[in-house]
Amino acid sequence: MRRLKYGLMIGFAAILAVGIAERLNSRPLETSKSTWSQKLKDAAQNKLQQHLRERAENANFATSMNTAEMIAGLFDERVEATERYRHAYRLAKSGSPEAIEALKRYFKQASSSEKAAIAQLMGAWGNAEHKPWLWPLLEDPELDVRLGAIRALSSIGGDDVVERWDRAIRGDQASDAEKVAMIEGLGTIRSPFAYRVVMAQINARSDVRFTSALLDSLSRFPFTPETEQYFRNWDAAAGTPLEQRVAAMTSLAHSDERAVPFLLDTARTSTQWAVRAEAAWALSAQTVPHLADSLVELAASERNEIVRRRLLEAIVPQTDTPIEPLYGILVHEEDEAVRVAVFNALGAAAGRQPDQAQRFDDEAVPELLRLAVSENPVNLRMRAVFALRRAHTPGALEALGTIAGVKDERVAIAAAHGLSPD
Amino acid sequence: MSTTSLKNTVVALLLCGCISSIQAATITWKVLIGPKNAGTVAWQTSSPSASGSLSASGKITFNAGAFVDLTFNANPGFTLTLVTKNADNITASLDSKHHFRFGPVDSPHTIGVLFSGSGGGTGSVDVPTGAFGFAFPSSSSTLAPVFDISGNYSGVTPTATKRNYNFDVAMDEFGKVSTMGTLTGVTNADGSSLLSADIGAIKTVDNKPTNFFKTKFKGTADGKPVAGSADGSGPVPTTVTNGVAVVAGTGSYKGTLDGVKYANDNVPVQAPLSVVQTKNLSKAWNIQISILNEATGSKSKPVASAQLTLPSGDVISFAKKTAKYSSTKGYSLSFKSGTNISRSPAAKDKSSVQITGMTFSKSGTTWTVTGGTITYKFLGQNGSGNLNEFLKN
Repeated sequence: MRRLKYGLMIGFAAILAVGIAERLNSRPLETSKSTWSQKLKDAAQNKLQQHLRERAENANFATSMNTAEMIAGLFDERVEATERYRHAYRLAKSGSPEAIEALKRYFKQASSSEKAAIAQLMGAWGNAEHKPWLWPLLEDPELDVRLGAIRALSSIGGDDVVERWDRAIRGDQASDAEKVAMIEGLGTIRSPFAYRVVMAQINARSDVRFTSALLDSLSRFPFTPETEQYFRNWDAAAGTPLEQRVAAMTSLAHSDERAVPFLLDTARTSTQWAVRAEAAWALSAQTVPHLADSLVELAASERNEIVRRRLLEAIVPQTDTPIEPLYGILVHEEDEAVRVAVFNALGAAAGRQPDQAQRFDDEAVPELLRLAVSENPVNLRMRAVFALRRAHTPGALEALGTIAGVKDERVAIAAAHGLSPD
Repeated sequence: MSTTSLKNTVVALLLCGCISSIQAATITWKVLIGPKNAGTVAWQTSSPSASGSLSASGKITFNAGAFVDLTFNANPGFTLTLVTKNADNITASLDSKHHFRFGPVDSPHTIGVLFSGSGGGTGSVDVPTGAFGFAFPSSSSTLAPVFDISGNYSGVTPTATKRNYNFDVAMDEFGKVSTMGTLTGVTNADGSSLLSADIGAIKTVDNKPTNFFKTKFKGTADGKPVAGSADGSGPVPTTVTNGVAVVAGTGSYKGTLDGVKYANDNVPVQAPLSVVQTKNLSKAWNIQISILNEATGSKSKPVASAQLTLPSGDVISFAKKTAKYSSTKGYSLSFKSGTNISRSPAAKDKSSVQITGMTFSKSGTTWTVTGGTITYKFLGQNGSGNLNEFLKN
């Protein structure tokens, strides 16, 4: 049987940021998980949202098919897999009785991975009506299906789900994989009840796997002073293994901008270079005013080259690039990877500010060209190409033209993409 | 010999091993050849005069890219048993005079030379020495692979809009991923078509390499304002069928598109990679270990050095250090704090490989690894397994 493939997207960030939204035609933002007042507000706006959403749908998901035709397409193995996936998604989104019935019918003949995907689709719109159908899937003999049901129920949320997860995580019936999925689900639900469960669990656990999942879940809640204190205590505790200290910083890449001061402080004061480096890495997920100044300041006094690199890489997404201090760092910096990080930040600035183009061409391009055509590792060479592409200055384009002819195909193609960006 | 491109480094003959009170039957030399040392050559060898000799001694200089002629001569009481190049057995390639031409030399090589015989040892303990190669078995379904995913990913999105995408991915030595590319009709906040994201990583979860990412985006799609954030995770595909792998995972996102809010949590995502894209997923790696007996005064002790070739192609060199050996428990080797000699200039590296309980059997003069446990950690990922699965055939 030709399996339905859930062709959706390449898993890269930019495509996800834009592509998923238009591809899947998401449900309206449901901030209602946190407060009832928000739910009421959403309900009041529902009609307008529906209108706007359908207008967007028409632009991006134009189809003349009715529900019956989409159901037929879902079961028609001659139809392209990606199109059948679109049918499944549209049917799940529509939520009509016949659409849901069709998906459930397809579910019965599907593989375990397809079942898991359909279960997740059923939960993706947060429709609590699907809970009775999903609960029994938690007992399915296939782990994939159980995981899909856990994710679906977590998407729908509710105290009943939190209570169930709490019991299961404490118990010994669920597998470790299920428990981790439930812990992650608590971070999806993000209700006060879910927060209490996460905090209770995190204080009761010591193994790396669960602790990492709990920290990741915790980071998805608003970064409150209480959360910050928890992370501080975690890092300060003498018995916390280095691996878990690092995992705590990794998880904060998911946090909101209120975590920035804590991350900066950690990047400045932690005695472990790996913790400082990971805090700096997490900062690159944030874009807040004047963050770049702090990052450059930290980098200028940081002795570990890996931490310096991470701090400077975090500048790239920022829009207020401190150009002079960055060129100042180049005067003394000897580590090639750190220099490439600086060049990427400067390249981004040159791309935004035409008055910086000449200087970039004079002071950065020759070194970047040398690096990109050298025998250095592909990672370093690719990032040198990235810096040139960000700048997109005359000198950078000329260099990209040269690099496009190098032997290593990956580097050459990356350079060629910079010459014809569209 | 032209030296215009050389730095004329004088390479001293390094005596790093000898016949010892614990060594009876085998003598191993280690010869290092390569342009690493200023583009010239070097070798280090264990007391060649006792077990044999090289046709040249002390130092050799030559142009990078040139050929090097070496002849190994066994002394009375010894027999040339094995010659390896980077752990590959090349003994059969020697001519009748035990001569071999190496080259053209454009990268470092480790030459292992094994003599067997009775020339002077007391025979108190027979310590395994030699060159041993281990490679990750790519077909294994139980061992955790370590992936490098650097490369180009281009195609057409399987969406209704069928946008062309060109994304290039760079993954560093810690598994941190940076991407840059374009998606037709989509621009960033500056109006540029260049899109980038620098907050991704590959790490090992439940014995599987797993991709994590998070990004924020602000710009336009087909001229309409779009802003939002997305994060997700999913295992790097480990199964390739007909040259094609499938990316699968879970994503969450929220934002606004043309004024319409959108959000979804835990959306299942799967997408087949093209044959070309699948080739970017590299998981081949190997480690070549050289164990010698090194003289210290009247005694000797085993020392081990290694060269680790990562899935990224980077070569990490671990300098020799004392190896712990027990006739019952075998070798316990720890390789860390190495040097990435693929970088120019060479740079410190955090990759590590540990081997415990490496035991041997001996047939004639040949040592064969019979067991042990290998633990590996590099490119932000890790794993461990039975050493036997890594033995090169």
